[in-house]
Amino acid sequence: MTPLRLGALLAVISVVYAISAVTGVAVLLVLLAAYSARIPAAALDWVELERKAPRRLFLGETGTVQVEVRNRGRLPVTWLSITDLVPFDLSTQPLRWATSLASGEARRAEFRIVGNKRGAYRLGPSTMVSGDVFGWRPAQRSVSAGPVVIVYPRIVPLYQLGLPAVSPFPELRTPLPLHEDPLRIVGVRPYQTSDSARRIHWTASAHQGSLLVTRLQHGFSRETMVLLDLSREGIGTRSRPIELAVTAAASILHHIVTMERLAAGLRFGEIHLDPAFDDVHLMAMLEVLAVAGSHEVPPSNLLEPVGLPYGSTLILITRRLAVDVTERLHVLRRRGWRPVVVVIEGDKPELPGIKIWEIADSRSLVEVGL
Amino acid sequence: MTPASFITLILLAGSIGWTLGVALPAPSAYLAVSMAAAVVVVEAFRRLDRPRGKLMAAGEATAVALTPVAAVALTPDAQAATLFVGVVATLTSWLLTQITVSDLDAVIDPADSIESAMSAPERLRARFLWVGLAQSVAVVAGHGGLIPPLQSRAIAGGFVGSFLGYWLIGLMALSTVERQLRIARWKRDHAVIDADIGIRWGVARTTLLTVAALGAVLALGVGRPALSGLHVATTWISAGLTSLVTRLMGNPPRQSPPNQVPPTGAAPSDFVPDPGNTAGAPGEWLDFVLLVAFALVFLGVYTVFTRRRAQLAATRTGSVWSQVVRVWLELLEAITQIPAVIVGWWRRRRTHEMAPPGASFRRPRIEPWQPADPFRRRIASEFRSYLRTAESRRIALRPHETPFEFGVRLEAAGSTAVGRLTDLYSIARYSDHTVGEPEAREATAARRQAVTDLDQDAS
Repeated sequence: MTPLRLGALLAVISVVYAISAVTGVAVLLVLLAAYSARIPAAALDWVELERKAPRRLFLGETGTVQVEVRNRGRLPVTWLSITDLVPFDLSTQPLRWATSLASGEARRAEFRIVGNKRGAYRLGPSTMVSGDVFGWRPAQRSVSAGPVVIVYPRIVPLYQLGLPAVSPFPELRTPLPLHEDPLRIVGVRPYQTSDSARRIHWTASAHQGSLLVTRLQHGFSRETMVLLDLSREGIGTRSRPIELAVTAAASILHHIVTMERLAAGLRFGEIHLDPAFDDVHLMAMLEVLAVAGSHEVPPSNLLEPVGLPYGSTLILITRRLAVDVTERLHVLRRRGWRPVVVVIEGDKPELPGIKIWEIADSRSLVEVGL
Repeated sequence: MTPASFITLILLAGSIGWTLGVALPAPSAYLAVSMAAAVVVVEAFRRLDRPRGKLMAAGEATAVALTPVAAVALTPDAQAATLFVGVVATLTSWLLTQITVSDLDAVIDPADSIESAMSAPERLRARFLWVGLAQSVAVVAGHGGLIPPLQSRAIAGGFVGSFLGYWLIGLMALSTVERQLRIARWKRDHAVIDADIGIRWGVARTTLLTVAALGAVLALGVGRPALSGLHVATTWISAGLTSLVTRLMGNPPRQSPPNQVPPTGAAPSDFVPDPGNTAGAPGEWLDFVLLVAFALVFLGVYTVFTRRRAQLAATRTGSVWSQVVRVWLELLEAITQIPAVIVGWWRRRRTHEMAPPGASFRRPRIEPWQPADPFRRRIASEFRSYLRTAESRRIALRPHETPFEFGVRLEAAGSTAVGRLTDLYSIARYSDHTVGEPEAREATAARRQAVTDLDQDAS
């Protein structure tokens, strides 16, 4: 039994028996039924939903999602229930919001999301439900998925991974004063008349009470490429070694770019990012690592010399070293590259002339949080 | 105050208003008394804030007790009408309070109950409309003189006023219940609720009802001539049809006596029947036509009713009397669906006529899954058998539900064997795993255990 059917039935009765009260109720019901069948759905069609979310989140960071609904129609929306699906790793509950919109009105609500796990997450889709005030005919509309939130992988100090905190990789210094690297300050010394005024370290001078100039490191630094092997052959399919490898890659890249101020690049699967040392480049590499997962590309492809900057440091992060990979590492070393191997939870191989670091002990795993 | 208590009090107040206001001469005064009584009683019980069960019992007892008191106190002419109205009011409040207490709370906290085919708010809305239909029938019966006490103009006016009051108060109460339920659900789901949503809901409800009531009044004023014309046309059409059927049967109308008695001694003239006089159709033919019409209606009702057997079986619970009432309600609803069936048939026929030659409009039928592997077929058969059994106990596989979700839902309700049965069905239907005699035997055992669990739950 629906209001429209009952209204129609009462209308027929009122025509046959000509009873004003029944006619009035019939008209009342038909009007209300027509309203509930058309108006809420039509009003809902004019409601627009927009989401604003942070593009990037670090692991464990809390972000705010703004959901704005605007009624661009002339009909009011008496009640509006919005359910915005959120990936489980960002929030354990979908975003639910109940509101009401007059004609032309816009309302905004804010919700919190937490980057609990690295990855790229798309917010939505959303479901908007409205209806009449009697609950006879609910109207529903879906809104397509919204923006993508990238949660960066975990970044930890290198000592937590069991790597030496200072210069763990063989970037080369040279005794020949080819040039001074203005980004690498190694100390201060008293001012000499031949020194340029731009070399004066004003803060230290003010502290000391006499003019001091910066001492810069003489030398040149080679570029570093991180080769992340997440192939099934190289690291398997278990999640913990994969997460540890990604964490190691992100931490190493972060250390090289922000601490050492050296250029670093990333090669992962078929993705290749040339070395650079600016923060934007680091963010791009972290975004790649955020969505990195197991793949089928053989690890030997990572060591293809094409595209690798000549003479650069190659940091291969893997779990198992196959024979062909070992051979290719030796070839690269003989040709002028500087390979380093970081082994994740695997057997530490003996490779003459190649530095090998191991991330396997339980202390590092606990400290990293895996 | 919960929605259940609120609607209970509204109905209680309405019944008191009915009882008191039926003796008043004017419908407007009657409505005023009803509304005032509603406000006073609701406010009084709101301040008391008694437990819900006692409140409902007190409401019912008051409604029942007030009926004979009012009947004795009023004039003898109004006693019968008062009794009638009191009984109707009590039954109405009983019907609606049954829903409010047992069902509405389950909506707010459905964790421990298996949801039936129709949700509690849907049942509330449906019963509200059914009670309104019953009152409409009572109004029509009173108008036609079938209820002797309502032949008094004042009492009939009061009764019609109560009819209108039922709709206005009921629609407001229905809207309030819907609002409270929505807000309760949102709170349960930890939704952010804007503070002014309740106020806007109330404004929208009042505006809507006012506009609709004004529209109804306007339609009554403007459309009164049209209504009268339709009424006259309906009368003439029915009379014409009767005349036509009578003539088609080849029976002349009953002969009327001559208008003038011939003078004594004069030769009797030949009698010429009046062709326009159809009021005297032979009774047996009219009865025959009525029987054919009744048979056609019965056939239509039966056809529509049989389509609803599954739904009827799914709601077969409670006592024998409640089942009988439910069957009759379903029959009544089936009657209302006959026009829809006719319109649907006419639309399909029209679409078929407009279609190019050779086009087929037969709706594809979804056949049950019948694999060639006998063991998979047996597991599927066991699963379908369990579904049929569960449907007969008001536990139906929802259209959007996968077998896995169905099993999880029933497992949560305490039936562990269902989970194994649905797992076996999922493996048999959707996987490439080898299915043999042990799995088929296990499916049979799981089905039996699940049915036993159902029976235990029902008992």
